Amino acid sequence: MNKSPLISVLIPSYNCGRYIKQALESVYAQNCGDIEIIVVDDGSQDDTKEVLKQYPEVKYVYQNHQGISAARNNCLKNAKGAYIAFLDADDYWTEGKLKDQLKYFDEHPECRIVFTAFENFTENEGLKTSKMVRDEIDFGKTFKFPIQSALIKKEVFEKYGCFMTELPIKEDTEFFYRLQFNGVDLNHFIDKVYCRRRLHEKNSTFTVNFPMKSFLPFVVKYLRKNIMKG
Amino acid sequence: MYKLNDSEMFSDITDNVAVIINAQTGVYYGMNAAGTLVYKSLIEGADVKKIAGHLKTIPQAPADIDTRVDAFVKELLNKNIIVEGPTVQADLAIDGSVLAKDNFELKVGEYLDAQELLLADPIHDVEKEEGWNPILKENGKKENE
Repeated sequence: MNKSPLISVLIPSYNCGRYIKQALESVYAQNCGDIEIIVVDDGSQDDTKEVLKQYPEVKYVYQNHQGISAARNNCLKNAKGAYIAFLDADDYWTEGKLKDQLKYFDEHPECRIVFTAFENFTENEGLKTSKMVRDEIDFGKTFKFPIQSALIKKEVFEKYGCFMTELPIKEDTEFFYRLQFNGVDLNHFIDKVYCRRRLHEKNSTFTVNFPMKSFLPFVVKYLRKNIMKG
Repeated sequence: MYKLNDSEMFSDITDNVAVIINAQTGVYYGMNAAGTLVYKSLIEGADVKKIAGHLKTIPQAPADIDTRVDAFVKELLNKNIIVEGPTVQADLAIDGSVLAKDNFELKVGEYLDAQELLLADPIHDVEKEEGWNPILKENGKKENE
């Protein structure tokens, strides 16, 4: 009988063949043995599949292009780990992320999701002091950390659901809203930059026009719940 | 008459509770069931006097119901939830028992607790070349401070 891995590293990817190697190498550099890596290729038209042939241990799942939420959900569907770590195919982690987060879980058994500080970098690796660390956070008011920085107990998804496929972006923001309004503590945080997010022309943040007003129908139910509580 | 100020507001009515979100300020509003019924008629373009007249026909309605309706309309206008719009002739469907249950009190609550949550999305609000704007140093101060 196959033993379930401790951590499922889930990588949704769309036309990120040129970046995914760096993402995968950053996962291996974690030296965290008990993991599985799943890449859901969201209908890429580039060389993603070819690149992944160099990594036979990675579970490759192809789907027709359905968007980031569907890709994340497909990742989750295939995941067997007790902990979930998302990593976008164009981003990467620095060494020690998963070990530090597992240690944090050991020390804080009540914790269900733990974030780390992260920084953005541009295509040419030129960092512009674009970093979010603890001092800048007013926890509880907003979510300043991307899902790529989080390690999440799988039970969170089982209890509160997956990502909304209607959302072309901000699917993680909606997910965190949902958790927050359901009382999940999102204040667990490791004050060290373990996640680096690449900013480039193809980021959906820049390519998808989805104004805040379009996002409101997805969060109104959480506000309603707040109002009903009185 | 009036309509929803849909250039600024997102409105949703479910289970007799209206939730209105100001997309520009992040302030949101919640109404009790009585307020929701009147608000719904208002944004459908019903005449205010016609609404008040209809409410007066409900047996338990207080004598000052028209004053209450006027005050409610004024409050919605002050909060920019409604703006002037065309009058639409339609039958009013206001369930008197719902208003009676709320003692004919037309309430709209204002909530500020999700302002930052609704407006700020630092995860996604980034500049292509510079990351977050304003650029923050590790100590949380702006770069030019």
